[in-house]
Amino acid sequence: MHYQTKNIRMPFITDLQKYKSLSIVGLEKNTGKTVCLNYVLNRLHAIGRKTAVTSIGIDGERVDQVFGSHKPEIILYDGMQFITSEKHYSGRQLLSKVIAVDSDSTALGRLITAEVVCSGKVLLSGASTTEKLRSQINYFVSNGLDITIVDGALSRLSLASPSVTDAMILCTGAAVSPNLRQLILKTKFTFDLINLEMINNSLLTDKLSKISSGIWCVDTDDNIFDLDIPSVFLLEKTTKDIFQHGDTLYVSGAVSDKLLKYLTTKKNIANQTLIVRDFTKLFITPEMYNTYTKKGGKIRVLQQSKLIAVCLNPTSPNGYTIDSAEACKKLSESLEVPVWDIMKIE
Amino acid sequence: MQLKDVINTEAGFKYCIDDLNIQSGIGRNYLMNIRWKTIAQELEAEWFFVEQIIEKIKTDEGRKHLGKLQHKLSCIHNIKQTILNIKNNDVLDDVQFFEVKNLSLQTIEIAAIAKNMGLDLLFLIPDLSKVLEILDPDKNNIAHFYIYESYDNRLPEVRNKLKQLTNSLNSNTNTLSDEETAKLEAEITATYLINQEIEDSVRVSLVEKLNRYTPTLEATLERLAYIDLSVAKAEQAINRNMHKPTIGSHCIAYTNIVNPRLDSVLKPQGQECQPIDISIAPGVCFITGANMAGKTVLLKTMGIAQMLAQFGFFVPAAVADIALVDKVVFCIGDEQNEMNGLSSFASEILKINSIVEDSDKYKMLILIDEPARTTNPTEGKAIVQAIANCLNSKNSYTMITTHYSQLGLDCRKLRVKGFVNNNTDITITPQNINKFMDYTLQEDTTDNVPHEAIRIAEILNCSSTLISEAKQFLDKEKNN
Repeated sequence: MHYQTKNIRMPFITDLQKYKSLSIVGLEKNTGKTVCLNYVLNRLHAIGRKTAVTSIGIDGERVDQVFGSHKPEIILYDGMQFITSEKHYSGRQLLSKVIAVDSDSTALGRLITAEVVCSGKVLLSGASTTEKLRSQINYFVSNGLDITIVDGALSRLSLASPSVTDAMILCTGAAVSPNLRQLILKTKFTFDLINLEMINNSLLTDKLSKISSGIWCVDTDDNIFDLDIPSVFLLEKTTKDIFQHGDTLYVSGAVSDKLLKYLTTKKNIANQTLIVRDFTKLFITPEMYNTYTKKGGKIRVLQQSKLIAVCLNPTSPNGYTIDSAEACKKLSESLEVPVWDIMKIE
Repeated sequence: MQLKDVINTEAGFKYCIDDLNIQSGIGRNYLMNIRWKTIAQELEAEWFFVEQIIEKIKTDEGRKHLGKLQHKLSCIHNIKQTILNIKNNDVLDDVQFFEVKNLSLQTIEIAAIAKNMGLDLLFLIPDLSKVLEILDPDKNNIAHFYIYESYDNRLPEVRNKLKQLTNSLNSNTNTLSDEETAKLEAEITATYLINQEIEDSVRVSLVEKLNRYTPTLEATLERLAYIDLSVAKAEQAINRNMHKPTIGSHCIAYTNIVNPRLDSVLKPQGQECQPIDISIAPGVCFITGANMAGKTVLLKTMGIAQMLAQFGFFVPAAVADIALVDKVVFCIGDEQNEMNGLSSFASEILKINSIVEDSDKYKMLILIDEPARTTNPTEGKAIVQAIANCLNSKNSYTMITTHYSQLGLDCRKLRVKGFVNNNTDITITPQNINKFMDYTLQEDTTDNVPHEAIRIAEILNCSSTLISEAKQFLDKEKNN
């Protein structure tokens, strides 16, 4: 592929200037996360941003762990910092210096923080908890780096939580569904969840942010009441009226279809508001979401994720390729934001 | 006997150990492996070490240094395996070299802090500047490591070439044809391999250079672990008002001794653990007193203090003059073990039996809580008399709490003063009973014990039927 080189195109890279951390997540495996990461790294290097890369789980493998298809490695440039496990550090194909060694160990050995001396390729494997990720991001911020990029493994969305990273890039593609209509539906659904409205009440946001467990009821004067239900799974067993104080519920943990279904059967469904911390707490299907919202229920979040871009990989791991131009156009029309073909962006 | 063998014998002792603010993994390892010490000079040296640290850290200025010192100690990793690899001349990877370099840097900084605090002559931290020299050829003094170019004069050239090649690949991705890209990539791989080979030879020579410093590195880890532990001991002594014991020849004597665990529970409730004075000599000393008068706590406290002292810690008393023993044995109820088919009486009597048997071989601190309380009073009393007779002539220190009276023995008896409420109109409740108890010990020459069980039951809000029935039975007994 030959493109003009003088003016390198950099869609959405300038938008990244404002953020300290960025996560790249895929709706499925093989939606082009690594290609997208490489693109972002390349451009950030070109504009001279001090960049760090870390990951959750194993990533950057040469051969896809599940499908066995060819996968691009992650290319890091001079001066970038990265975190990977001891095992993958010893297999790196670049020159780098060790700058820190973590005292606790992962399945692949301790985590090594290093700085690239001469550009090359590396496999990334990282922390397994979002807690650890947060502390890594803080470490890089305090070390004066401009931005930390978190590469996601498999189809984990949790790292895109606004409590972990400031901004996110969503990757989708033929791997999600070879049927364009299905692909658009599924992507649009996640897109809608990401863009769920925040509650417009900073006082209540403050109050609810401090809660780490349980289900709470909010009354019209923003007073909150613990319903003493330890888990949403026990909600159906409860005998008390969960809406005794008001029509708004705050669920601190995960929200499933089962919970939405239960809420739909309540009398006050038309006035209900369900508040969750952020979209990564929602483990629901589009069907249930639609039923709930059509009956009048509203879902709101405490923190909204900042979606920087939507990227599309037209090829699926089983070899099926969809028409990139058409897919990007239709998806873009549906989401009302630009969608980039990750394979053509470079 | 090491600390890890006995840490679970008494919850209050474990509490004191867990309370230590140890920073490093090597410090915690060291702690678990400290030996039970029975040589006075050894213990005095340990206590002296802690005392010197306390002197330096009790000022505000010292506190600041302490924070820095502790932070640095927390950065020390256990690299025993790496040191072993160097000893065997195994090639290290960059991460291991980094660990050695990091240890050197941190150690040098810790030594500097120690010097600032005036503790350098006490700490005697090994000098690792020669090790640092090997791993820091450019004298950057920064904790990072890779095979620096100054290690081998072929490296700069190879790496420059590598940089040029990768640059031309990275900046021309869109203009290069597939063949050109493949050719460039092959060249990069080849150059990378040359670089690797040179690096590997450097690694071999570095290990050879480091080899002679393995004893120093090992000594450093050991020393830092000891310092970490001692600093934690000193900090604990200040926070918990613990003091350095002295070793007398004969008695175990404390002024104002408290139970640290109980103290930590009471303090937040605005109450205080009443300090007690006690002195015991070899032989048997009975402790009597009403229920809830703190007899069991006293036994536990004596045991905890003895264990702390002989593992090299300060003790929770204002003044302590102790005698050294071979071990501390507790026999405090809760030994019942149905799994072995033993009743509470059976397991207790077996334990006491082994104590009596051991008392010829060892000098011990023996703490027995209400022996034979789970059998009939006639035989129970006889058993208590027998235990006391057997142990009274031995050189062990034995403390036995009991509710049996008229023992008719020639043993010393200490009695907890108990209730002192007569001057108040506040109702006594289980919550405030503490305030009406005087836990002071006094010599008791009579052969009686307090009879306040029913009264305690009343205070604890037991049902009036139960209480009045008990009183009736008691009266009947007296009238007979």
